Amino acid sequence: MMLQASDISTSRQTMSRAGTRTLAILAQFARFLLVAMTTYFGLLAVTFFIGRIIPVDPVLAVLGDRAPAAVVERTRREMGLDLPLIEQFYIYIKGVLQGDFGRSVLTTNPVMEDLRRFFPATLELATLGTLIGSCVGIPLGVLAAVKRGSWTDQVVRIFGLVGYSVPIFWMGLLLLVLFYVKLQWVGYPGRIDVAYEYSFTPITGLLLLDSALQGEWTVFSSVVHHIVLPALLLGYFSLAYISRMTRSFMLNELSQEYIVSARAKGLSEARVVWCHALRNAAVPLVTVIALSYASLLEGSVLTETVFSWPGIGLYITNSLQNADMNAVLGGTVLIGSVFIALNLIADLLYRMLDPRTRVQ
Amino acid sequence: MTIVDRSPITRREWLTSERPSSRWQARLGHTYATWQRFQSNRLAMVGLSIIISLLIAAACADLLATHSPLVGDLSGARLQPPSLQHWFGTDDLGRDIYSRIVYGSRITLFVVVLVAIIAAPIGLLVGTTAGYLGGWVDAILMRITDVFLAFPQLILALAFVAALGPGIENAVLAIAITSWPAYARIARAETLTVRNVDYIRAVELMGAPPSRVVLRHIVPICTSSLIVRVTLDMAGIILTAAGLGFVGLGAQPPLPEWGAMIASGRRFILDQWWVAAAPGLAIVIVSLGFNLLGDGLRDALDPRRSGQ
Repeated sequence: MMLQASDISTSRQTMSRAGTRTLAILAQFARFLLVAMTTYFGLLAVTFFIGRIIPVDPVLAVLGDRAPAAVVERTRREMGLDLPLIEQFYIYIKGVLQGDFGRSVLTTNPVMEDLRRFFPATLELATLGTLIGSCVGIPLGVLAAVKRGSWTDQVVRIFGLVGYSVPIFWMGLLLLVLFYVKLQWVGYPGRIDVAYEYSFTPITGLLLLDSALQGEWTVFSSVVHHIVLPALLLGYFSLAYISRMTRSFMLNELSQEYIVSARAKGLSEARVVWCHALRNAAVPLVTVIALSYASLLEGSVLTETVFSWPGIGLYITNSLQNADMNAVLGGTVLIGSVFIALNLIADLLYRMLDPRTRVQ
Repeated sequence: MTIVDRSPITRREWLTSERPSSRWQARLGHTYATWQRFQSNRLAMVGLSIIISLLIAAACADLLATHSPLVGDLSGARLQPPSLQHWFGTDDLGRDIYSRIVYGSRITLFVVVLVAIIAAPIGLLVGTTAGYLGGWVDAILMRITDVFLAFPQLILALAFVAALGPGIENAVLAIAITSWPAYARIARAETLTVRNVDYIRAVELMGAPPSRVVLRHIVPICTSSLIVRVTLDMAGIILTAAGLGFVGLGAQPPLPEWGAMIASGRRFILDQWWVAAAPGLAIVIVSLGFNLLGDGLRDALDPRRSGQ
């Protein structure tokens, strides 16, 4: 009898505990959503504000300064610029949420259409850069941590610090001169040889994937020739960050007691380092890699300028130079959104991978 | 000589004394110990000497430069390779690149110092206030910080400059606007660690208003980690400013800003590579200097975490 009662009470307890846990997870998810929404709202507010402080009158930018006053007045009303600022902001947000950033003055297309066309190029480059950065950076960081204080450590450290200190556009220029002009190892600036530009129809816009899917290996090799230099360059920058953080996390893990006990068990040093320490260091590393991915998407602005890479960065800088504010703001909102999304994903992944950060 | 003769202990012993007799002595002794730690780091000393050279170059640009940075010899000295007369060669307007780089150090220093002066105090104040007061003040301030932190820095700076109009002052403003949130985060984290410590409680019991507690007792605690962070950020600030200059939105011609110099050398990169290479090298050296200095400062100021 007694036993049964206690059984029931424990089962009820576990039930209620499971209930509170789902509730807590839901609450956490709601908080995440709230954070994301406020951040996104802030992004829109700031971009809207930027769009309003331009010294150029948007009406005159459309009509030119010789338009008669009546036309100017009518266009102003048509563009909604006579409404109160709050209402304009509301209209702006409504437009953005529907994917309407207005028209680009430069390309005369809707900005959204342009962004859709330019974004895959940036995505492809940043993804490849992050892959290179992680595949080289993590082993380097582990090596530096294991051989702490040795000359290997110093070399890795300086290699990383230089990556932090070099202007990406400058290095891109010099590498282009060396590898394209002098050695002719890589293709000229651009994504693909001109010969294929019109004969090859992309599916997703990620040219490496597209050409491989269609079995067009000559196109594929042309794409590789073009992407290798900018991808290596971005990879170096992400490597600098990733190797540094890996070293720091690894040092932290290697000084923990479970490492001592793993060694005491007689495990090989390689197993201790790669299977025990790195596995624990990998949790914060996921966040680091996500952040570095986000910064590559952003940092590609200058790389794309140098390599004439038709991505978002080039689109933004070209529009900037032509005072095409719709396009600039559209690009900024897009990259900002990706940034926010990646931050959130990193946060979520961190919580999923590290049980200690889960809600009790 | 007289000081050494009169006192029975040497200056070094006085500095490293375990029982300082005055607050002044304790503070000096602490500084001395920090300096000792810093000095033993060879790379950090390299960084420090680079930054000191930058300061000297900026201060004595008139003496160090061999030519005018703005007026060139258009008739006979366009795009010349490095020589005894023009150490780094000349650019497309016949201006001496070495002299332009020397004067450019002033612009770099101007940008870096101004951004630090604007962004660090804002971040410090926001972070300490949020951390000390807590509650909804904390929630609101940190939400705002998060919004700014979630922004892509370079792109936001680009958009700001595009809206405000290109120019070095607007570039500084744009970089400052995008860099204070990180400082606020650090200051808040530091504040939270000392907020409930006894000495803060003691000051509160003596009747100090929150403003005094924050400004006199919490801000000094946060400064050392903030200095480290700002120093490490300087390299990033220089790179962002150079990037803005490269896209044509930073310093405007004929100012000898390094990023803009690279941009103008880009057209001649195939045959006259030194026009773009030299200013880029200057950027690399100076940002490397700030990075090494920041690393060394962190190790010296925070021995607990040194080596990580």
